[in-house]
Amino acid sequence: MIKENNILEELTRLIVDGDDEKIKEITKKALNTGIDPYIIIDALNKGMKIVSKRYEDRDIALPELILAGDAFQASMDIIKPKIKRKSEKKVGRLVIGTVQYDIHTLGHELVKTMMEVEGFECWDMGGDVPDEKFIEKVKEVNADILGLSALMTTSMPKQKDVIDALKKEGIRDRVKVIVGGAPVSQEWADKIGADGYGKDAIEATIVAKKLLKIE
Amino acid sequence: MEEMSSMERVTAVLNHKIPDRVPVIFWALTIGAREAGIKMFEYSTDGKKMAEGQLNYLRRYGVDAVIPGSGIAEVAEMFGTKTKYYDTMYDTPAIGETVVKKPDDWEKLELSITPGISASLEATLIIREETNNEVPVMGTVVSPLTLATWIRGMAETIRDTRKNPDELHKGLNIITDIERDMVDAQISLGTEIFFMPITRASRDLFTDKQYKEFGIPYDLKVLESLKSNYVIGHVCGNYPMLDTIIERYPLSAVNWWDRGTKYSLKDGRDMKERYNSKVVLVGGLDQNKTLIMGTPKDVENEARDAIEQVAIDGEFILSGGCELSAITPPENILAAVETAKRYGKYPIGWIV
Ligand code: B12
Repeated sequence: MIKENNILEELTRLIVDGDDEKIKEITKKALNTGIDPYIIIDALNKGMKIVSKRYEDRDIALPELILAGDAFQASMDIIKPKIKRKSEKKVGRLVIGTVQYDIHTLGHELVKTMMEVEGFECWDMGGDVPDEKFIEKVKEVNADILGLSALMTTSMPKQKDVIDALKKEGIRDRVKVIVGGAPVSQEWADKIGADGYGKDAIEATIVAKKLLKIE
Repeated sequence: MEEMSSMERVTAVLNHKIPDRVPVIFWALTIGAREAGIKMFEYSTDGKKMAEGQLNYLRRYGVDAVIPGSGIAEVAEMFGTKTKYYDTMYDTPAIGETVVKKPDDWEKLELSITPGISASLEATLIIREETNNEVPVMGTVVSPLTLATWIRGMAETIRDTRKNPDELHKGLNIITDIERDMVDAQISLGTEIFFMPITRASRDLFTDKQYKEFGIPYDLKVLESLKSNYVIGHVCGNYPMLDTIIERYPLSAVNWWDRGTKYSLKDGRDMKERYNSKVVLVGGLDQNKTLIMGTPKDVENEARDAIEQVAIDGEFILSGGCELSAITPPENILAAVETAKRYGKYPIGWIV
């Protein structure tokens, strides 16, 4: 038990340190010791939440945040095959990307990572995504949530275009739309008829869960 | 007719003399496409069209300087990135493919002349001739770390700071040397005033310690080669390292988002005092809110407030806090210039 706790604490620390090499080794060790994959994921999540909070408080800068995300992904890659065999505990299906004409992708990638932390299955569309590509993907994977990121005042209107396209396709009520990005605000979200807005990755998860009525 | 030409007005301020009135300058690149009524690709790669767009912008609004160019992709392209153009009038060309794909590529960087940069240089010469040298046509020089993130990608560069710092330093050294050559080329074409985006000096992107290692030494080296020119530094981002820049960088002027960050123009003036600096302050208008979404009256109020805050003893240029968006309504640009003409005449008294 003590050994288990030590391993889990080390995993949390490796996320905070953004060490994507060592964490692979310790993740394997944890699995070999027989720790439940979901308990391992909890330890990783704890690290990601610490890092996100510190970033929002400006205690750390973007490098620490990105490296923590790398470490999280590295560990998850090892854990994922192990949990596939258990019944999937996914809480929702998220399609996310940055709207057309806008190549700022770092923000929505972090949102994606935090949504994974919360148990969402995610499809990352990348940046500069044409409206119809979002629609296709939402249909294809039967998404519950569509996340649209825009980092520029010139690309914000594209968020509205995607929402309008969903309406035109007659599938607007099948998917909740959340929007974000530095120039985006709650007022803008209301104005374009989005279902939610998140100022950062943590808020994004809270809003998404609320919309899907997950406790 | 005003007392001074734009060139006289701007150089007076940069030389710490009192001009006839507060000058107005924007970092206005892509807006040139709209002003020429053409799509972005044409504007970005055809020097005559770019000159036409920038000249229209100059004449239509009466601003005090121009900076030919189409944005970061054009500069990055010289180092080998591929540019992605959109078939519209307003959307900034983007870096479509980076060039440093693995750490070893850092030492292979070299410069090539591209249609984008040729267009900018051609436009520079045309505008200078058309305006009889009475308007500053500014050159561009980019902070090496900023450039590194363009040609490698932001996240990858960040990973290199941790995992491959030696290779990254090699790359930064090469970029710095190339930048110095580019500065020389522009000087030989007659450029005296440079605009320098220093956009990674922001505490949400890098910590002070990281910027001290990967940013400052290279910025200072580039500035060294600009010793006998004027440089307007632009510090971007939500948490600009304004204090460091004012304390340590030999800049003629500094521009930041004074309406969107915790540092107001007044704070900038306090920092000047603290560090015994004579740097000219550039800003006052919110490029993301007031200029785009406000009314001309809002722009006037904001401009008057800025003038009231810091213009009284000179050393001030009215501007936005970052690039002027291509969707900024014409009447708002006009309102900024009009306000400088009406309320920015020297001597400036307190406006009551
Ligand atoms: C890094 C960066 C770049 C990198 C992007 C690398 C990448 N792969 O993402 C590069 C160098 C490529 C780049 C290019 C350009 N950039 Co840029 N860039 C930035 C910068 C410095 C940081 C953005 C960032 O990554 N922040 C860190 C992340 C973690 O934060 P975030 O993106 O805000 O995301 C958080 C929240 O917003 C939220 N969120 C984000 N998305 C979503 C989505 C949902 C659904 C939800 C709920 C929440 C959410 O959660 C995230 C995590 O907390 C910003 C300035 C700034 N400080 O914001 C400028 C900035 C966004 N860029 C700007 C500009 C102008 C450009 C260029 C046009 C430059 C040019 N003149 O050529 C080009 C864009 C070309 C194009 N067509 O897209 C301007 C935009 C101004 C405007 N018009 O509104 C900014 C604001 C700089 C400025 N002060 O002017 N840029």
